[in-house]
Amino acid sequence: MQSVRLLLADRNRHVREFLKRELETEGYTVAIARSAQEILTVLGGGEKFDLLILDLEVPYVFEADLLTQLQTFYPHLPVLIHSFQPENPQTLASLHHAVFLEKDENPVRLKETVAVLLQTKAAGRGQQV
Amino acid sequence: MWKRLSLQSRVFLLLGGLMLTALGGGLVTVWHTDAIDSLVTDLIDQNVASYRAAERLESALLRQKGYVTYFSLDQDPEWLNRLAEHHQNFLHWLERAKASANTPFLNDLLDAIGNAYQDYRQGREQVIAFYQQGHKTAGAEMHRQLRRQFNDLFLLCDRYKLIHEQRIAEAKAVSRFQAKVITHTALVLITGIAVMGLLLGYTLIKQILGPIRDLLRESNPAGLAEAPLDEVQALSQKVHTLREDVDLAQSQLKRSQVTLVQSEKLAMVGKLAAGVAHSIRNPLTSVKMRLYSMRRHLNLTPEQQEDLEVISQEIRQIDAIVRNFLEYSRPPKLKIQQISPSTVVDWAITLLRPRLESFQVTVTVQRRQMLPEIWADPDQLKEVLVNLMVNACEAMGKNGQITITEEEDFLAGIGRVVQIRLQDTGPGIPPAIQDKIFQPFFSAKEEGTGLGLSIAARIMEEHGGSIRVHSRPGQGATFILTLPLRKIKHGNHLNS
Repeated sequence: MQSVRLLLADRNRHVREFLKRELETEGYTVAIARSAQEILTVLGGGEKFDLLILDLEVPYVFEADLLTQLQTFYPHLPVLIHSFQPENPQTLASLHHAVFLEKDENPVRLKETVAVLLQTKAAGRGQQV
Repeated sequence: MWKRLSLQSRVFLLLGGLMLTALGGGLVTVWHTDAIDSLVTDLIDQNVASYRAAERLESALLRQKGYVTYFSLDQDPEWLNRLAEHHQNFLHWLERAKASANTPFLNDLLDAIGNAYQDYRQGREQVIAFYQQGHKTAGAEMHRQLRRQFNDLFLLCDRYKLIHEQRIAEAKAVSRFQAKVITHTALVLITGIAVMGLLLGYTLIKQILGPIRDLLRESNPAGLAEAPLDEVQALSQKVHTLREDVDLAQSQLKRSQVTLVQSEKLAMVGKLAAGVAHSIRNPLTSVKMRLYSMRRHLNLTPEQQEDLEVISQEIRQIDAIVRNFLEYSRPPKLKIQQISPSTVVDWAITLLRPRLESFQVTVTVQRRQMLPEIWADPDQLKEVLVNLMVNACEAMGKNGQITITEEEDFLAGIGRVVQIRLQDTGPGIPPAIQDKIFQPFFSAKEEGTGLGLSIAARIMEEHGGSIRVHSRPGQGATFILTLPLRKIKHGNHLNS
């Protein structure tokens, strides 16, 4: 069986690497991206991903209107927003097709949420979360 | 020209004119009356004396008539004596007349009378002599001629008298004319005074009393029904009140300017703090993650364990500061709902139970009944109470006591309010810093961010309420939270 592929985008290099390491211990294959452009480049590279873990502070997320683009071009890719509580509550409202998890130091909750999302995806192919 | 004069000049001019006219009129009248009086008196004195003299002269002449005839009849010398008497009388009055005669014409006339009388008298003496000597016929003949002479003389005297009558009539006419002049002058003056008086009155009413009334009406539209007796006094009171109002408004303006400057400064500082906090949060999270990871895997000596623990604690403190900064600069929107503040008090105590127990602090709630429901954000209100209680715990140390008193009150200017007092048994807050504790970034605590109380104050303000502190050193501190008891939903926050 092919391993589960995750794309992880975070602003902070050390956070990226830490989370990659943590998630890899769970058996996932983790690719990383540093900006909105990189996410789109990686996604457009032909490889298939099962989940995108996205930090909203990644550069150009809003400038490139990343979330709309994702929904348009990759409607079957679940998105997990792993971020600080946004300053503007409306930001959260606009992310209705994504799942939000507040970032903290404990990676256990991230792992749990990722597992739940992957299960949901496996159960109802193509269904939005 | 008139329009260009100031009101004061106009009133003074009119008043001056009025006074001058009245005064001048009075003086002229008095002077004229006096002049006429002396004139008339003079004329009358002179002419009446002359007239009397003329009359007596004429009468003395007439009385001499007949005696010579009587004498011719009975030769009685008594008639001659009587005649001599009247002769003396005539001479006397002729002298008097001469004395009072004041024109050459009258003098000439009197001279003529004197000469004619002289002639007549000589003739009469002749006639008497004829009669005494018994020449009756010659005497009678001469006597007849003498009568003609007498008639001429009488006519002269009569003329003299008529002249005086005429002069008196003239004097009368003169005085009547003068009186008329005075009357006319007086009429003109009265008209002038009346016109100026009316003008003055008009000016006073139209330009002083009217405007004063209008001002009063404008300044006091409610009190139209009761017009004040002394408008000027009322107005001066109004002006006084107005000036006080202006002073008040000015000081309020100054105060609000100060507040504005302060809040602008705070907004700047807040932005700065938020920026800093935001930037710090990212690497801080990374540190926290690595620390978490480390603690999972490391087998540490107790010393190393302690070091790590301290690092964790300090990082948590930094995290708390960063969160406070962010919250302070980006206050969450109030989620208003109807709730009894008593419920929020209970929640806060429940939430803090573990902390209170670790500090061994007892909390007493003095409550007669649940406070009425108000419009408030329970979470924010809870944060205020939690903040205050945590502060109290940290200030008191072990074995402290917190008393929470809930009550309803009525405050002038606000209306019905609910008040929650939190009283602790700590060291109290020095008076010098009581004003500052609600300012952001002011902290007297070792690990304070200086934002807890300022956030509490802002939350209270957003609820339309307030927070105050009352403390005397050594006697604990009492924080008083006041919230308005509103019937309608209301938030003071811009976004609510």
